[in-house]
Amino acid sequence: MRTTKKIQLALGLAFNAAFAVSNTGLADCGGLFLLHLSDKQFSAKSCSIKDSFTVDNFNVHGAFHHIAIQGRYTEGWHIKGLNKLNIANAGFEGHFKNFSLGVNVNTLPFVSSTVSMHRKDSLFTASANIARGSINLGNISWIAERENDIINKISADWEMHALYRALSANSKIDNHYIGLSLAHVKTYPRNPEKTYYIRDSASVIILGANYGHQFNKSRLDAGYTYTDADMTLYGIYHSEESRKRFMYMPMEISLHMLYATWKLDKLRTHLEYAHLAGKLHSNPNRFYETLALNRALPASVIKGISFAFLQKTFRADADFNAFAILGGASYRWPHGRRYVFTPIAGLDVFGASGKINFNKDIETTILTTHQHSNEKILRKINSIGSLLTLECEFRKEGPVSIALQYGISQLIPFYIDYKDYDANENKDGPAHSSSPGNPGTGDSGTQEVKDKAGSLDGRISDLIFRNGFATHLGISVRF
Amino acid sequence: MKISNKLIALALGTCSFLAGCSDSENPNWAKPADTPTTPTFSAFTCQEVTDATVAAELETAKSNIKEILNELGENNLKSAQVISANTKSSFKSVLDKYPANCEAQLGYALSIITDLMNNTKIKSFIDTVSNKVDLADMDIDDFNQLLVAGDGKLLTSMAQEAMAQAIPSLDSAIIYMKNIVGDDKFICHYKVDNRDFELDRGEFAPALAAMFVAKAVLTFGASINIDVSNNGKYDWMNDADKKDGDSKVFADQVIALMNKGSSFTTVYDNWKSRYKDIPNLLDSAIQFVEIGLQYGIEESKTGTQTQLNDPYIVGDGEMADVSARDFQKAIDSLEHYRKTLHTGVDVTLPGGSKVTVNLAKFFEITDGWQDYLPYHKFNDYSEWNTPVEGFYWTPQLHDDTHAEFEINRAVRAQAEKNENFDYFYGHIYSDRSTPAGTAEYCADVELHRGYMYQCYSISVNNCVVTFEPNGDGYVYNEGKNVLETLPPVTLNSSICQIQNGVQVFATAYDDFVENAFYFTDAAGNKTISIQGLLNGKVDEARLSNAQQNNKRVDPDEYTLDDMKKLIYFPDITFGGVLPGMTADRFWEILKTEIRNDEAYDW
Repeated sequence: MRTTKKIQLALGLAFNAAFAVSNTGLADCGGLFLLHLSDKQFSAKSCSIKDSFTVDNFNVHGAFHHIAIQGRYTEGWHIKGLNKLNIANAGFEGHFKNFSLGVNVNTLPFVSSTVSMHRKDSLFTASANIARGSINLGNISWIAERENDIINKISADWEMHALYRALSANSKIDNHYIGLSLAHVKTYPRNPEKTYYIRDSASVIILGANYGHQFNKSRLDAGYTYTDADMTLYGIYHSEESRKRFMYMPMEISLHMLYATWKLDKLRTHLEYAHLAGKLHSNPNRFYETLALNRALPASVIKGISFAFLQKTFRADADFNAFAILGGASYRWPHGRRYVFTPIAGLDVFGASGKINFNKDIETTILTTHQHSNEKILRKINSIGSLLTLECEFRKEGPVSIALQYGISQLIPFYIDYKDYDANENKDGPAHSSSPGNPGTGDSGTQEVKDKAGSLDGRISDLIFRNGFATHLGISVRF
Repeated sequence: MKISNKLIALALGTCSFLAGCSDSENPNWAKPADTPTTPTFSAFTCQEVTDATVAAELETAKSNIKEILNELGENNLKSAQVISANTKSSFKSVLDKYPANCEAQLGYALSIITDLMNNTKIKSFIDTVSNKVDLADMDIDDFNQLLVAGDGKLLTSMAQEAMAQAIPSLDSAIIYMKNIVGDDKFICHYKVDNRDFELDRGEFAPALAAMFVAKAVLTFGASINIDVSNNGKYDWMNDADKKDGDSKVFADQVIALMNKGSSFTTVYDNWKSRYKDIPNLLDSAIQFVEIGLQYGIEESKTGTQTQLNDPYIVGDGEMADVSARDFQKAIDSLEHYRKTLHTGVDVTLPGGSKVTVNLAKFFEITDGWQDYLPYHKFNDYSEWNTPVEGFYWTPQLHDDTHAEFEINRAVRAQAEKNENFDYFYGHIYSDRSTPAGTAEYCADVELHRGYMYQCYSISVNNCVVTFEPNGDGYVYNEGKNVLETLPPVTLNSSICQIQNGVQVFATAYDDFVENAFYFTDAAGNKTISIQGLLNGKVDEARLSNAQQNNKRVDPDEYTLDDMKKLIYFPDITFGGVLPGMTADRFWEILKTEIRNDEAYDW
């Protein structure tokens, strides 16, 4: 079904739902078209309809979401990710004198429940949330450069089984709003009955703090979130009773995020900062290779003889580091009273920088001969640019309130510098220091710098609306 | 000299390891290698070394084997050669005292293989190829220098001699390895980078299989005549290189090689029996692979603990490399394919087609493969530029006009007046807006010590081409420009005509293809020329539309169904390799497999 038809269907359903049984209905469709280049692609589309009604202290809600995410990266070989989800969601909340209860169930399947305690004057609120279920993270395919390679494709499904626990506390003292939160996600490895799959084992801690102040005519909010994740991914080939590990990737990831927003009448400003860092570790032990492709081969003569005649394993260490800062403002121009038409324009400026340092040890065994080689790669990207957002909203106020929103955003980079430093080490020779102006890896051999900007270049008409472009259309009905 | 030409030279030199050449009737420069004498001796079941001094000598030699393998792993051939010479004699010394010691037998078998690098003829061949590579790197473009050794011997003949020399060594190693594989208790321990390795029958048997495959490959290479020289000379290749294929000697040599009576691709008489025995060598190889896999299966029955230091572990869990079931499936498949070496067995191709294959029949073909080519007939070289099919007449001078070939021939003759002439390339450039009968023509001449590039505005009147330099070009040849002025060229009436008062040129539908040969049916009646086949087909309406609108025609490729009616094989079973094959089935299988290939879409 074409996207436009899906949007029309979603809008129609929302209207029906809104008028039939609820006092609030919402339908929204959006798309993010981040990259559409020869060697990189990423896009995401989603549509959702939500409906809820409230009777006394009880609120019942239901929703349906459709999400499609796809990405591709090419580096001789290709890696392609695809996830399409249809999620139906239902839940209720009950609000009582000093506490609230909530239960939410969806078809992922995932179940969550929330208990919160609060004072009648809302001076202090504490809540606990626990959720458990599984999330289908989609399908990841690795495709060889040449069709006739012994392994030309590995297509693995990834399903995460998680337990989420969170505590939060909020306080409102006069015009001050203070909030603290702590969440922990743990994923449990499971072995599905699939030929190729990715299994994960992760522990994620999320700490958050926020502060807000309501001034006479404006409001200031600021917050900080810290996320720390330890995750191990396993790639498994499964055939009958046998499960073979062909991929092992232990990772550590940390993310710091800071934000501040200030709202004054029709003006909204914001400043955000994020810093992401991570490491992929290699493990010298047997069966803990980053990649051991012999074990991924399907049963065949080639597989049978490959262990004697050609075994190739890869052990990789990598660290990546990236930060981004985004700041800007948006302004609203409402026109009319009963029928309100509001154009909104926003302009943000961003700066982003990232680098990944990759060190790969390759061990080849042919009968009784063993060969080691090493490859090092450093990639860097720096970018400065802006994000232009144009939105418009049409709202009909009254006993039946209807709002229609449409918006587009376009990323406009001023400067992009994307470089690939090949730093293949000469094992027999002395280590060379990095050449001037060449950041290098510090401990690498001679480096060859390749400007990768070519893949980001292109005619403007090829880039806009297909790269760094987002759009959404929404409608809500309340009566 | 173009890189492609260097590659041809080097490929013919180095790849002759896989296929030999020589003419049994020819003198020294290309005679077949003598068939080697097969060694015969007995090896005994495994026995421990009890003498401490000999045990120490054995350990040192074992350690050297590891060094040799490491050096080979690092591609340090010279270093491996030096260590190998000493190691082989150490193992021999231990074997003299303890002929039944399996570690010494294993070491000696391996050192026999590694010591092949020190064999006089093999070493001489490696050195010669190395020198020829250096010559090619120095831009030497004479194939006689690149493919003929100093004593006048063809490089390919030297390769065959080297291969023949290697076979007895392999035979000796095979005898020892067979003995080692026969003892399922024998285990060899060694260490690489602090990791302990344990070699057992699971590795010895595949290694022995590899030796049988190597012997089969060497036998194949030494048996086949791929001598493409003309009486020991490669002048025809030099001429083809200089004239971009527009060479009579080149054409005559190609026709001679493809002739059914040619000795090219035949098996030398003295190698025929060995050649026909290749299926048995491959059969042995498959059987020993199966023995190795079966050993892995048996070992897995007692768990993985006894396999911890094996290069691979057989078991079902994640702490194993491969399951016993996968090995069993591999054995079943190997057993199936092994039968193709003796009788017809159904093989499933990637697209799902089933074909009965009998590889033994392939090794019975000893009189050349030309007999199995589709029915065809070569044209005399004088007709190679004649457009006969796959072309149309147009007033426009397109870049795929046959006139380009004739213009190139004339300009090349002019360029060859320069004593440094090396290589020539000329091309016509035009588009729809270019007036009829005119175009831009650029000539590119490589010299031994220089370079010339010259472009001209050309116009053709009454089929006479005149050249006017258009200022685009440069000369690096001590100021000498033999292309400064070019005399007019009169085009042959087969490629340029005046039709109804309009000058028209024969132009290929798709690409200029020489009229080198045509296909026939069994009775010798022409079906289609290679020129017509490769240029596809165009219906009258489309041709007329292209001519009226001054556009290039857009031909349809001949389909496999078309080809089925145009290409006929004298023996579609290819000498019984594909027993029961029929022409209908053959083309149907091709259709299925090509569809499958095209359907690959990630």
